[in-house]
Amino acid sequence: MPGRAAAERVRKAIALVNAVADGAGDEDITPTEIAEAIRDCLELAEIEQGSNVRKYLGEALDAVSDGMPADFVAMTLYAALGALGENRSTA
Amino acid sequence: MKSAEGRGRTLDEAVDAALIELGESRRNVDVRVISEGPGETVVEVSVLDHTAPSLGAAAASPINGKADVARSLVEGLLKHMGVRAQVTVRTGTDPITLDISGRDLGALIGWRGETLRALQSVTNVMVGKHLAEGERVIVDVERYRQRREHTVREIALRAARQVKMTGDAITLDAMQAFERRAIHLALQDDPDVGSSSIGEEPDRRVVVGPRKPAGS
Repeated sequence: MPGRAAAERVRKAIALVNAVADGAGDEDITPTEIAEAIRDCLELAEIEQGSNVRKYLGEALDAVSDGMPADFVAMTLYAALGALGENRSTA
Repeated sequence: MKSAEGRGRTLDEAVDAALIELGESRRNVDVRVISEGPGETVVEVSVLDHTAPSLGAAAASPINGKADVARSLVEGLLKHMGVRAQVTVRTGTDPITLDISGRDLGALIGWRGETLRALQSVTNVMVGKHLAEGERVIVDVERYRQRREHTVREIALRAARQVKMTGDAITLDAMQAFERRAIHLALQDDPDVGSSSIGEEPDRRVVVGPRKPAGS
């Protein structure tokens, strides 16, 4: 399914950020790890140059670098996920 | 107190007519139905005086102030999304928890609660400037999150009983951070069984196993 690999990588980045925001208390995640997860998404060829997905991922990466709150980073990553347009069944 | 009379074919239309005249939003007004018939409804809409002293001290507390700000922001967000739902502040909870309820809100929960989690992130970004450092708002839809926490706690306690019987550790399914947290909290006071997490997000799992004796 096109976009699936990208969606999985974005979800991984979101899970890392949410773990920071929700404070599960069982891991120590650094901004570097989150930035790496976002860069992993940007490396995918299926994310086209100039696309909104790439734009949102870039913004999320900037937000991590600038020390923005985890919720802001998560919100931007969710926007990237939405822009991927991957359809999933609802709950 | 400023008030206006509104007329319309339905109650909603009548209230809207009065709100337009007053230039107010629904959350700032009190509505009294004067007459309601098959063809026309008449209401009196009065603007609430928020500066009037309240008998309920809690209403003026900073916590409630923040919660109300969060509630009205989420209400506005849902309105823009075209979602008809009611937003209430869950009482007696820390952190502030907003409950969204209504009909057919499955789409607002999303796959494994993903949309709900996104909604919570957006809410916290919107409310952020009203909150203290580290303070957060929890958003729940139809008590989905509360039910999930309850379910994973049950799973944790069942796993703990099994660990006590067999002495073997049990690895649970991959869970989100708030679910893992619920498990760690459920088992933190158990003298015999403990929990830890393994793996990487989003496949991070909780392991429930015998608690190691101190000093070993």
